[in-house]
Amino acid sequence: MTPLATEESFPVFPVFLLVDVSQSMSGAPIEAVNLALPELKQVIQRDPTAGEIARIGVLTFSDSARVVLPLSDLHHVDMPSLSPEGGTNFAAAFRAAKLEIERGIRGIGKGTRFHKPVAFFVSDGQHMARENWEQELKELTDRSFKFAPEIVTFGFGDANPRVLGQISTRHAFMAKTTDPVSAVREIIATLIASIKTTSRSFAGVGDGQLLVQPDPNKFTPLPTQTVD
Amino acid sequence: MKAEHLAVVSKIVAELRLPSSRSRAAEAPRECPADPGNRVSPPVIGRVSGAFRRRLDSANMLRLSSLAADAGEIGPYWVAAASVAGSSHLHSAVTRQDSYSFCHIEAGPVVAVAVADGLGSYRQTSQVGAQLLTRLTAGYLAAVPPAQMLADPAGVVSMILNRASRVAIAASDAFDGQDPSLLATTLTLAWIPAHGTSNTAATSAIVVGRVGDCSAFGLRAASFTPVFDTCSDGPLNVVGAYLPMTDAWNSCETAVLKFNDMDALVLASDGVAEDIVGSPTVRDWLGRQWDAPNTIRQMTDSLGYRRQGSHDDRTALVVWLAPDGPWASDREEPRERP
Repeated sequence: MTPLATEESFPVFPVFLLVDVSQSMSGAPIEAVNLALPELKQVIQRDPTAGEIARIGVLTFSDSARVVLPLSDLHHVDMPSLSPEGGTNFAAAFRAAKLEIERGIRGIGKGTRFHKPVAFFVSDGQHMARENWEQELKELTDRSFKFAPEIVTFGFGDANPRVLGQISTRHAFMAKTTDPVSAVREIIATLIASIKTTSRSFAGVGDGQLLVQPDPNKFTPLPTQTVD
Repeated sequence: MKAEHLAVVSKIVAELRLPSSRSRAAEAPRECPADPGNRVSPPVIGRVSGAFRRRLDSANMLRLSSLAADAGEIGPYWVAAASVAGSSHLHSAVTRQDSYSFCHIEAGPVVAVAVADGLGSYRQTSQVGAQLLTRLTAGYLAAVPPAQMLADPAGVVSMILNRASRVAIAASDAFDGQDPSLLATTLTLAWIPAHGTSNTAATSAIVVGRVGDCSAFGLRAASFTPVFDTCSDGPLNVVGAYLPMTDAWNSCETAVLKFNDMDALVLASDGVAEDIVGSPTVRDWLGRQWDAPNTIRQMTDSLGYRRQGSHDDRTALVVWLAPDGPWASDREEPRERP
């Protein structure tokens, strides 16, 4: 029988940003991310639906992965400032994401109802470590994992479109522009719009599923593939 | 309208036509619940936004009103229902897509009620499915005598949902694309004997059914008991079953409830059910509001609470099960609310 909540809690939409901060992101690209994050906070706060249900977490990855913003209500936190680091290790990103998604959602409180988490994966490069990222990805997206997220991938620069398609569970996109700053801006704008429209979709205006609708003039949709 | 569409409409009208009501026997006058003098403000729970716009779905010729409500006697019972457009629907200029209906053939053996929630993915048309399917299922249910229902509740409910679905599928021919999913809706229903307090076994049970995430609750002493599992512990946005479907057997849940286990039966769309399950404050508020039969204004006000993250359409239908309730002529005045 359905347990009735004994403590007040609110339904949440957990959103995680997995942002590549490898050396290739140094300079203008990472500055563009740092400029866009406060804007993300402002837009989400102002949107009535997303402002009530969206919770945002930010993880960075290079040689290793770090949680720079635990899953948070943006009304109560400042956005982090990201710094460039070393190489690119997708395995570390997926491993950290699995831990943080579960920790973050559980941390909201027992009995809290949540929508399926979404992880936006943003990278301008390719996996450079010896670790097997496919296995870590499988564990993150395995159906038996109660908190398994939908993964949306955005690539630019030297990102490998085929790999972006493998990582995504539903949507994968490659920025058409060769200017990394423009690409970062467009990616952040697209994921902000996705958080807003998906939040409304959860509230009965839509099919309750993740919605990502990038400008077709600025992004190439990539076929999603399954990791063998 | 094309000729074939007119034929579809004619068929629906024929399906909705019920046996003529018998002439009403002379009855003692009844005293109805009255609005209390002071309105009680609904609670606000959590951090709620004041930035929702209120845009009407003016381009949609199939739109519903943003509010529908009823309160009154149906057979021996007092029933109140309200359906209110969600803040997110209004913000996005999408019509209310929930619906409710009821049916009782005068002096008939059954009161039938239904609540439905049109799927948001069909934002211009699913409310038509919700309206049509609540009316059809309530109409069909009202004609099922106790002996037939109680012999095979799951079978009868499935049969009725299949029959209503066939009409809805035929109705979808009137829409471009002829896709029955345009009318997609979840639904819950209840079959209630019209003389439930008599002591015969045939009239001591209530049958409740549902397809998808609409819910039902028993209400006793302001305390809710879910009839079905309202939610798993996984993510909220998991697509479940919906009507119309050609075979409801595998997707329909059915429960047989004891008449005497509750004071009232509540049918609710997920916009209300999630709040009942997830918020002690909402549960306490609605329990107190529905502790006694409601007027239209009381019923509408009861759904006026605000809760962080609760933006969907809200629909609830409450049947107070005491046929000799406070609205009967020889009873005391309706109770005042705190």
